[in-house]
Amino acid sequence: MIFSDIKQNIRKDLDDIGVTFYSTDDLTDSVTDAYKDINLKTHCIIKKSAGLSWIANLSYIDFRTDYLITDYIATTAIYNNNTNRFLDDNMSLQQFNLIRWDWEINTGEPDSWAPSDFKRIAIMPRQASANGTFDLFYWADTPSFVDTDTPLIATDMQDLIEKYCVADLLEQAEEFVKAQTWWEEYDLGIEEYADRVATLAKADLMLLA
Amino acid sequence: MPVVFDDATITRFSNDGENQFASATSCIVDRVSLAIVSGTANYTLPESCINIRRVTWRGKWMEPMPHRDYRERGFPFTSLGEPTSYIYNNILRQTIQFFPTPNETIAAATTNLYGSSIGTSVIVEYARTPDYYTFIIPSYFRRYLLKTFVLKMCFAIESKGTNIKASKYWDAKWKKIANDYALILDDLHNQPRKLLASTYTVLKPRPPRPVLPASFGTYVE
Repeated sequence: MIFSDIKQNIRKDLDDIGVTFYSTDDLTDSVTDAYKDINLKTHCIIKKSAGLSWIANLSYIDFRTDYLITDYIATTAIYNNNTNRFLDDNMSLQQFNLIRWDWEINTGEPDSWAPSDFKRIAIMPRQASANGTFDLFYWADTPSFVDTDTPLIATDMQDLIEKYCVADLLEQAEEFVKAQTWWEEYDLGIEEYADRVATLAKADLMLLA
Repeated sequence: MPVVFDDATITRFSNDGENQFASATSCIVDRVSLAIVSGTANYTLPESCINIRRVTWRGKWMEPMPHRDYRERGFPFTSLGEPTSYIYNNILRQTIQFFPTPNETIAAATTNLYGSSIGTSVIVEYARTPDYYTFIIPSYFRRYLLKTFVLKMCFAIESKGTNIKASKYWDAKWKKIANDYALILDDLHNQPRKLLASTYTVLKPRPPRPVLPASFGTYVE
């Protein structure tokens, strides 16, 4: 299903086929919100960025700024091509502190990472001089879209966008009771889809579709 | 269509909502490098600082020390040396105090606060308030989250658009999704991922850096 089909269904559900009540902007904003919300709650868009060069003396990586990965949300895994190993992902920053109180300036071949904040992750140890590359696997933000695009959501779950938007637009019209039915359907669908994405990812532990 | 809520009102409430979410989740992080002066213990933090996440002295992690501990361990004597702790409460407003008092002068770094300047500077990492432009809450839910707060507040102000029922509805909505997004942020950006390595923490052997305890050399009767 492409976005224009979804928008058509939404207008049908709202008895607004003739574009009489909700503007095109209202509908597009709502579809964008829905797409982002589904992606954020299910982590359904996972991407790989290969061959990124290590940066010397960088303890915290901001992928949006340092590597211009503008759709970056969060890291799932990092593969160090220098050692042919994935970096360990089982420690927090507090546990880094327990290993070395000066871990931020500890140099060597990176072998662990930990989330720091929504922009950055921490790498330990860091390279003293830049050498080699790594591959980044990450949860990505939704791409910008036009009506002829297909959402990056499983085919049978694309109606979640419709449910979200009908509920959202009914709320906008202060029809809160009517919106409730659609929110309940949406929440059930999100739960099911999130479970599915997580189960699929368990197969190879890499969250790669 | 007549304008019920003007742009200035909407922007004001949007900023207010962003302040509330950032303050509740401490999700916006920034760093500052302090210009250290030998013999001076107190330093002013930026106005935007909500709470301190981490302080490093030339790359070495510093221990937060409650003011009560400071009074028991150091006050009122002045000791000079390389600071190992910082006191963060019950001193001056937006002020951090180092203990022992620094015995060297270190220039503030202006760049590479997440990289090469760590080993040569004194850096304070802190959760900060948004500036609504560069330092903002995550963009992937910002619009919808703030929309709920703006609607909650707009329907509550005295105007032609006053609607208490709608305001209460959006208040409940704001609380629910702010909580949902806070949990997602915590899961994505605070917890170790544990997708690849064992769920059990394994502390790998690394070159040790033995450190003498803070009480070393203290006279004991």
